[in-house]
Amino acid sequence: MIRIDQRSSTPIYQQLVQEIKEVILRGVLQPGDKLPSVRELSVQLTINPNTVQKSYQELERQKIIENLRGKGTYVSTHYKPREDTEKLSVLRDDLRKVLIEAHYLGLDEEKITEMVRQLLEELTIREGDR
Amino acid sequence: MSFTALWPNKALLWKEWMNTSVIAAFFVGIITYVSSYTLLNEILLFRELAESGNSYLMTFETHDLLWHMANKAVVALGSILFMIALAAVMVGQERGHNTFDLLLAMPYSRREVIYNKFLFGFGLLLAVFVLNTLIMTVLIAVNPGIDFPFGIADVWTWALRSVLVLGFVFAFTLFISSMSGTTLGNGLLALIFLFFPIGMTSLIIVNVEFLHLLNDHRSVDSLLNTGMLLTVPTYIMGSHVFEEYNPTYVYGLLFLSTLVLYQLTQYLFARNHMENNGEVLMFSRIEGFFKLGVAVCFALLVAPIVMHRWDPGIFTAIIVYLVVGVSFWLLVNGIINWRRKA
Amino acid sequence: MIQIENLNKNYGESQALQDINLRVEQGSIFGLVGPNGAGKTTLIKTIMGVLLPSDGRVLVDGRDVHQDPTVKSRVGYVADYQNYYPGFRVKDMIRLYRQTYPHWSEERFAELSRIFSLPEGQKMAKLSKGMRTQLAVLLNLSLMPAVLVLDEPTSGLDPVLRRLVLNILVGEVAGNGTTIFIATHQLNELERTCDHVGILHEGRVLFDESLEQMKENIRKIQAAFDGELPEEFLKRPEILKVERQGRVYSIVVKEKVDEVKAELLNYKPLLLEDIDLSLEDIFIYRMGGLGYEFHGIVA
Repeated sequence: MIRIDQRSSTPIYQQLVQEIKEVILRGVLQPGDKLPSVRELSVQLTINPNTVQKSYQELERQKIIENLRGKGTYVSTHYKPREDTEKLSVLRDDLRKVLIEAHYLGLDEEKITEMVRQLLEELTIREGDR
Repeated sequence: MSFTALWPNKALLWKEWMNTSVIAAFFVGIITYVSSYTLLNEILLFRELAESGNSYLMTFETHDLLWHMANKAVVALGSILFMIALAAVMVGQERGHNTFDLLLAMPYSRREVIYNKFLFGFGLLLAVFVLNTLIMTVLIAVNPGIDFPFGIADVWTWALRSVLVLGFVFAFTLFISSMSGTTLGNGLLALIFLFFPIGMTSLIIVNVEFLHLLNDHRSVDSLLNTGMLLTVPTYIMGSHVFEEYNPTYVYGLLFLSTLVLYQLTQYLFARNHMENNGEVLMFSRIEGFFKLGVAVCFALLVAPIVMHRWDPGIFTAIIVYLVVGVSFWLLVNGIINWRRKA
Repeated sequence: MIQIENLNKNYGESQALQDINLRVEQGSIFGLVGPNGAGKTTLIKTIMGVLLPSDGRVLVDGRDVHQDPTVKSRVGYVADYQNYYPGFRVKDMIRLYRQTYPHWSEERFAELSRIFSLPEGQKMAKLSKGMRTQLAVLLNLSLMPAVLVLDEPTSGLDPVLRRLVLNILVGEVAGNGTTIFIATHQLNELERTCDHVGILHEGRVLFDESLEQMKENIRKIQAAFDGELPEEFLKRPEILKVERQGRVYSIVVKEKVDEVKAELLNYKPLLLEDIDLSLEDIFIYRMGGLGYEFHGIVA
């Protein structure tokens, strides 16, 4: 489920954070589910356990997962994706860049919204899903 | 040099046995054959003759066994060669297959690795000689009716001498091996240097006589005696050393020089840089000395042979010595460089 | 933990290793890269005590490897080529290790033996390079190492085995907190597995930092402009390299990446994007920035 692209310039631990978030977003892992242990995940992906540890710590900090001592790591039961103003502005910038590119590719507003709708569907994020 | 306690290491000793078992087995076989086995055969033959009432026919031909309580030259040389081979292989093989890399990455110190090599060689020597001496002691003791030309004490003396001399040879070869990089180099250099004193004195005598420099036979004899005295391997071939000197001193000196050789070997291995494995000589500093030695020896050996048909003047002779010496120096130089490149 | 302090190694006149200082923390993986002939194997053999340092020392868990070799009873070593006694059979080699290492684990050995099926009766002389490596991995993990030193451990292995060996190593760190020092020229292996990476070049360790730092600190930006970028901007010290094709600039930036990007936006780019740099590119640019010509790190 989780893929790591070692050619990407994004550090592996960030990729892992993103991938795990996506897995949770897709509902493959749901609140209360147990995550693989650091050892399992590092062996499974052949990546440094300290990297896995770091990603888990980051996810914990973001309150997406929680570590129950002695039991393992679980997807947080009260995880609610919150709006983060700072992140939102970054996202807005990124989107802006994409839209510029789309514009130069000759896409009009209708085509762009169509594309966004399709992608949202693919990611199974629909209105009122929260 | 530290003298911290070193213990026999089971794994290292076992490893030596695995790597040298063929040579070791041959050595055990030869010594047992010429001692216990031959004695037993003689006794059985004597018994047979005694039963048929012909025991007076039996004169104890101990020449096959022990010759005036010393070894026959061929046996002595054989056992010396085996000892040299054992030590040469124990080090040369490790270098040749780079297994020092394996051993030294293990939790063993260099000292421990070398110590256990010595231990293995001496253990083997002691085991072989003590075992055979015990057997021979029992054989002599249970046959009181036979008039043996030697007693139990002689047998033990023989064993002690053999162990001390062969132990020296073994230690000497390990010492040489700490400076040479190949099995063949170890063996040949040890052989050359062990017999160097007698060889060198003989060479000097030959040349001195060839050039008519000396006509006094007494000084020639004393020179030859000194040469023999310095050539330890001859001690187990009925040497006069034990008659001319107090045997206790000779034993003591042998034991002491073996200890010194052990310490020197440890010292050289501690400084040994494994990256030179495979070269004939491990230390570049001794190279000059070595080449010079070969040049001088071969000049002394070859020049008289070259000149023996004519009677050269001193001037011509010097030129021939120089030419031969320089040629051999160049030859050795070439060989060392060739090994280095290969 | 491995500490290397002011390590020097001379071969006669030439200096094979120069003033090497490294520290590998417990439970981490250190990757050493460098072109052939840079001194990787010399460094590893000196760490293991096979070669004697000309100066400096190597400490494992605080104990000097060269003074106190017993510390190596918990150090596993997979050499670049496994030197074994040719007359030994596989089972003899196993016996030698079992007798040598006090923490040898039969349980671990049995477990790993199922993974690497090695013919116990086979003579060493008949083992292929790959099999020798597998045997070395098997033996050196069964001794329950606290530290593992590996010199190109995956060379000579097929991709499946390579992955398997790396998985075992990673599991070793995660499960037992083993410290690993690995020399390799497989950059993709490095990236997944190492916390820190050092480059050995002509006997010196040029830099020693985490790959994440490395990746974050060096970026390639591609930007297109209608006009030209001013010279003084392109001469900023953070900018390692600039290539231009028509309107498109490729700019390699070291550190202050965001600052440079923000400034680029002032010049109203038609397009501005990050290009992924391979680890090899990163090495090349980093080395170039230090004035080193860099060739053949991936031999």
